[in-house]
This record gives sequence, structure tokens and C-alpha cells, in this order.
Amino acid sequence: MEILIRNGIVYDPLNKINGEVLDIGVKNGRIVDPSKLSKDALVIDASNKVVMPGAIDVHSHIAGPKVSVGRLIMPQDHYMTNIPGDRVVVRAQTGKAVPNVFKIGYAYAQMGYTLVVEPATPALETRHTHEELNAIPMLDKLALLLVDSNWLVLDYIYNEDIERLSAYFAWLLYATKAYGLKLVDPGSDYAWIYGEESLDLDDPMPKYGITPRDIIYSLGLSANKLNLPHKIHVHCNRLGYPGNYITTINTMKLGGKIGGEHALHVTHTQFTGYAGDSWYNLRSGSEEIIKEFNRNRRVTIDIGQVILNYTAVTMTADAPFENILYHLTKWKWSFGDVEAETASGIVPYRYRRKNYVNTIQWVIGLELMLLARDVWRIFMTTDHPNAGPFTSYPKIIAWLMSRKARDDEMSKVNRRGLSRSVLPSIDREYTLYEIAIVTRASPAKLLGLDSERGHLGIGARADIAIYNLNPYTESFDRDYEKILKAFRYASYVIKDGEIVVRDGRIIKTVYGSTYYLKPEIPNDIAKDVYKDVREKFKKYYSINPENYFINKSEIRNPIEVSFYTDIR
Amino acid sequence: MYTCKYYLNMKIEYLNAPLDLRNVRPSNFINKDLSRIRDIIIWIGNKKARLGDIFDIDKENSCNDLNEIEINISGKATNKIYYLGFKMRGGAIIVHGDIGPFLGYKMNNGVIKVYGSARSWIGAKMKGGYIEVFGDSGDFIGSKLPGEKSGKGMKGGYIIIHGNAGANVGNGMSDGTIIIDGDSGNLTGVNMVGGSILVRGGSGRFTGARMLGGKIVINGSIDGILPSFYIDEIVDKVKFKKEVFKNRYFLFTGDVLVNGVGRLYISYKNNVELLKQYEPLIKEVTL
Ligand SMILES: [Zn+2]
Repeated sequence: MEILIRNGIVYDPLNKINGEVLDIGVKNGRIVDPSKLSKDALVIDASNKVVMPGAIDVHSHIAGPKVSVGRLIMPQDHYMTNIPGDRVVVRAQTGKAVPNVFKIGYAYAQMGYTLVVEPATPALETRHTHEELNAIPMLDKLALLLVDSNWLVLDYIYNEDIERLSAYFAWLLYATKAYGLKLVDPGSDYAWIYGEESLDLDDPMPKYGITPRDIIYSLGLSANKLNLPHKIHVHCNRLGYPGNYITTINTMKLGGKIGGEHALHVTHTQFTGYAGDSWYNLRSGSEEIIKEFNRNRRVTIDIGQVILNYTAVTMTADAPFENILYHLTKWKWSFGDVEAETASGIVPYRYRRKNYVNTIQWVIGLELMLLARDVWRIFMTTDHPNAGPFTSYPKIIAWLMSRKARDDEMSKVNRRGLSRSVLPSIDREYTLYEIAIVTRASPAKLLGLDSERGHLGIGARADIAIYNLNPYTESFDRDYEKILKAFRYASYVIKDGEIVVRDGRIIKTVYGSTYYLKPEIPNDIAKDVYKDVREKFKKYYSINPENYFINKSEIRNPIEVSFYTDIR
Repeated sequence: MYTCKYYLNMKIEYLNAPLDLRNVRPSNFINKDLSRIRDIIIWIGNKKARLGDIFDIDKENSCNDLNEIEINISGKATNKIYYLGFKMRGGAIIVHGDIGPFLGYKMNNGVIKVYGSARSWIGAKMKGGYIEVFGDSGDFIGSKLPGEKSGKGMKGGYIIIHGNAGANVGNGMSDGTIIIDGDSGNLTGVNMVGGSILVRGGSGRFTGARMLGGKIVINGSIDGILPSFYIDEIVDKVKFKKEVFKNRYFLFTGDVLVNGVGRLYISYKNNVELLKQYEPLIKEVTL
């Protein structure tokens, strides 16, 4: 299929195109020179419309065992939220806080998203994650592995054997068809087995005696050694405790020590950006974090923006924290333990506008985004469904682009919380170019996929979003409703060269691909490590490594990313 | 009072899928001529349709006041109607026949009368208004949704059932009044936080389980009292809204499992066998 997008106002930061009126040609799922198209190419008139590459979400829990439990724990979420599949091309949708797979795919597509990262899957249960990812339509996907409390990993770190650790990761990533390494409150799930609540960066772990700092540092070095396209993805220690911003800053400093570009990604920084020493005198630690962020060019962060007056379902592998949250909410709690690897907790939580703490949480996300000097290293997320649903992204874009949108929300929140923050004094408004950076260009760079994604240059994948906005004739800072509408329901979305959304409606259900890594390591080392793994499996696991291995055939449209490592 | 009347008569005799009438409420009829009312979107199972496809619609008089609108619904398959009167703000809906689930779901104000029987979830999560059912009704009257916290059920208004009711009457209600003229099933007033329930007939098992507050009056025979309810007092009369029942009642409080202070009045007359064992307990205390 050939498509010509005519006269669109193009925002393509990777190619430094800032609002120029251009034509874009699409042929065989790739972007081509418009002059190379035949005469019968389908023409989309994009005059007065914004054209951007397909957006990328770097952190959204869309699949896996804990997402399923999140659905089960919220039966009330499925009353009157169902949208029947009214035409043959659209499947039925349901759910709000934790939507079903179809709604996830469709709602992302309607907003112009084409790639989503599932950021936490236990290796042992990744087969389930892939089954669920396979069922999500419209999107390309990739999954990150939970490795911080894995006993094998801890053994290697304890023996200070980075070479073997890296080789084990090479085997593990390929065995589970995952794309990267995720650390959740490093070491805490392991420590919790021995009854310890939460570890700070320098607290020694029981039995091993190593600290979370050692884990992050070793895994960072290992990721560098493996040349992983996306290095380590870190959910910091002491998440959710007042005063934890210091831990976050120390973790970011560790990124500088590890070295290399994008050495360390700190995720949902809002949850780890609290200053003050109790819930009563909590304040935002965003200024201190941003000071370190602006100084330290090795780290990237995403915000995890809270959406107020909304019942979210928090789900994380940070099991000790979920236990504490359950005792705060006294409502529901589900706990899962994955043998020898990790644990998880699921607790529904309602964020309230009039609540002091929730207001501070809301403020931190926006402050981080608005104070950051380098927008190439900061990303917009809600840590769906932990802080809010991904369907609120248009709201966040409006808050970033319009001072008035922020003022309107600020007039409704807790006064005391607001008076203790710098947000009311920030005048910065994001431009469409900057929005294109934080949602498209820089996520593609972070994931190491910028050769074919996140831009509209010749040869890139034809994932394109067209929004009904004209920055040259309209102004949005007063009338931000336009932003909300345009970004929630895109005018056109093209996925792999096919039109899937027109005027905000799904017109075709397509299934995207799943990326996974195949690090090339020398054969003898691979064999050696596999021998080691077999032994450890006998000792620690209830299953054999053969059953652990996920075949390529179990993944719908797999894309193997094969690359050379520094293991010799 | 209701000067402006609409008549919705079902054209069809049989429906094999739920008929979702969440958009049928007086506030959606106001200031609309008949052709626009016929265009109101409804769902038959997973198929979208217009109101005019299923109903013949007539009207008597026009008015601009929400509280003067009365919608009359009749036909053979009215028991397939779901979500009628969803978030209703005023006016009246009269159903001549049976009605399906979620009648008056999240209703705020107004009147709904059913000259027939009703299925489950009547007045679930309602905040105000008046629902009267002349026949029997199903489970979960004035209830919360499964998975929600106690107190997220009915928050105000009246529900009157002239027949029998099923299980889970007033599940998680926090205010308002439910009156059952017949019998009620198991778990009457479960998870209740406030409000009051009167059952003129008998009640099933586990009445008041996990009850935190509120008042339940059972006039008929009851199938057992939970061990987590303590006998508090023997009284000679009970006041329920404007009615006074001059009988001997045993007052229990509970549910102590959740530190509740709900009041459960049980008529002595119809439960002599059951309540006899509690008599010495209360006498010991008073002596
Ligand atoms: Zn997360």
C-alpha cells in the first residue's frame, strides 16, 4: 500500500524538522521519498494538521501476571465501561483502571502510540507476558526482565563475576525473549524473605552481605559489557517513603559512575522524589533531583505523573512497599512470589485532589518535567496503571503546553500542598517540538531503536500520527481543550504503512511485533554458563531450564535484535 | 403533577439479548421533539440501535420542566431492559410490566414505579429518589458493586418492594431506606454502613453480616442469628421512619467481627424458639 501525506506540519526532532510543511511518502511499511510513489498512491490531506512519528511509551504495565490480577482485583472496574465491538474490525473493550488487552491496544492507537514497553516481567512468568502481549492489537511491544532479586544474579554479584553475570544475562534475555533489564527496589524482594522491610542504597542484604548499590553498579557494568540497546531501567530504593529523594539522587550519581550514554534510567521518579521526613511535612524533592539530572548527563528519567481523583491500581514488583500501602489503604491486597526471582504486590489506591500527599505527588511529576533543562533525557509516563491510566496522556500534554490548563487543575487541588511547591511559579510551556521529543524521539533513542523508529526520515518504519491541530493559526495556551481532543483522538494513525485510525475511530485491527534481544557471545562461554545455570536450576528452581526457554514460535511477529557484545 | 407524558410501547414481543436503555431518562427527553427522541441511542446486546427501532413513541403535552415528565414503558419483553433510569435526575418512569437489572443505577432523584416484578441490582449505588416495585425483586437491591468498599452502595432515597426480595438486600449501603413487604433472602444488610432496612416478612441466613452501622428490622421469622451479634436489649416497640411496631423485639448489635455497631431488631413473636436461648443472657446482665 502506498500513501502520500500531503502538506502536513511535520515535527521530527531526530531529523531536526520543527514544524515545516512537508510531504511524506509511505510504501511497503516504510517511509520513502514522496517522488518515488506511483500515481495511484492514497493521498491524505494533512494541511492544517500536525504530523509526528508514532509515539513511544517507555514504561506502561500492559501485560503479565500482575496485570491479570489487577483486573481480577477490580471487578467494579468492568461495569458500564464495556464498548461492544460494533463493527467486524473492532474487538470489544472493557475496563478503565486496568483495561482489557483490546482496549489497551485501541486506546493507545487512538492517541497515536505505536510502541509500548512492558517494564516488569518476572523471567519465570514471561511466557504469560508474551501470550498477553501477543493479544494486544495495534502496538509493537517489548518487555523488560526483573533481575534485581534473582538468586543467580545475586550469586554472580557476590562472587564479583561480571563476565559470567553478563553471559548469564545474554542467555536469560534470549531464553525469555526480553529486551532489557529492570531493577525494582534492588534487593528488597530478596531481603523481604528474611523479614526486612526496605533496603536503602547502602544497607547490606541478609546472607549475601552485598548492598543495592553493588547490584545497580554490577548490573550497569554488565549492561555496558553486553552493549544492550536499553541499559538498566531502575525503580529506586525506598520508593514511596518520605525523604527518599536522597536515595534517588545517589542512584543517579551511580549512573555517572557506570558510564556510557543512557547508562541508567530512573523510572517513575515522582514516587521517589519526596522530601521531608514524614507524610505530614512531605514536600517535593523535584528541584534537588533536577539539579542532579541537569548535571549528570548519563541518566534519563521518566515522571510517573499522578492523575488526581482517580482510582488507580498500583502494581509493582516492589512487594514490601505494596504491603505498606495495603496497611495505609486497608482495602485490598494481592501478593505474588515468584520462586528465586522476584515478588509482586497489587493494591488499588485512590488519588484525591483534596489530599495533601496526593497533591504533592501530582505536583512533583509536572515540576520534574517543567524544570528539566534537557528534554532529550526526560519522558512522559503515568506508570500505567500505578499513578493513572495511559489514557490521561493528553491531559499531561495539555498541562505541559498550557499554563492555563495547569492553573485550572491547581485551583482544585489541596491548598496546603500547593503552597509548598514551586509549580505555581513556573511559567514554562512546552512547544509541540518538545512534546515530539519527549514522546517520540528520545524514547526511541533510549531504547536504541532510533535507526527505524521515532522519526520520519527515509527508511524509517511508517508509524505516523496525524493530529488535528494547527500551531500557526491557533493558540493553545488559552484554549487547551483543543490539545486534549486532538491528542486523545488522532486524525489519522498509520501503523506499518496501513491506516488504522481515522478521525479517532479504529478502522482496522492489526497486530504489531515484539522486539527481543539476541546478544552474541562466544560459544564456549555460552556453554559454560548454561552448565552453571542447569546446576543452579536444580538447586533453586522447581522447573528445568528447558521448560523455561520460550520459543520464537510462541511470539507473534517476533523481531530479533542481534548484536555483538564485549564478552571475549 | 406529571402533565407531560410519554408512552413507549415495545414493538417486538421477544428479545434474546439485553436491551440497554441507559440513555432513557426524563432529562434526555426534555426539549426534544419525538423524532429526536426516536433517535436516542440504545444497545441490543452488542448492536447499536435507535429507541424508535424498538418502541412506538407517543406523547401527551409538552413541557420544559424536568419534574413534569413521566415516561411510561410497556410491552412484552420489558424484563430484558437494563440500566433504565441510569443517573436519573428527576421526573418519573413508570414500567407496566417486569423490568430487568440495574433499574435506577446511580439514580439521583425522581420516581420509578414498576407494576410487575424486577430482576437484580435495583437502585444499586443510588443517591436519592424513590423506587417502588409492586411485584417481587431479585438480588442486590440498593447494593454496591462487587469489589467496592462497604458504604459504596445506596447513599440515599427510598426503595419499596411489595413482594419478596432476593439475597444481598442493601449490600454496602450507607444511607437511605429499603422496605421489603415480603420476605428477603440471605445476607440482608451485609456490609451495611448506615441507613435502614425493614423486612415485614422473614429473612434468610447471615442477616447483617459484616455490618458496621445502620438499622435492620425483621418482622417475620429469621433463619438464625450470626454468633458475631450480641444481644443488647429487649424492647416493646420499634420506630421505623413514621411507623411504630408495638411488639416485643430483641435488639442485637454487631457485627463484632468488624467492630460494627449496627442494630438488628428481631420480632419475638415469630422467632420464639430461636430467641428463647437469648432470654437468660439478657436477664443475667440486667439483674
Ligand atoms: Zn512501573
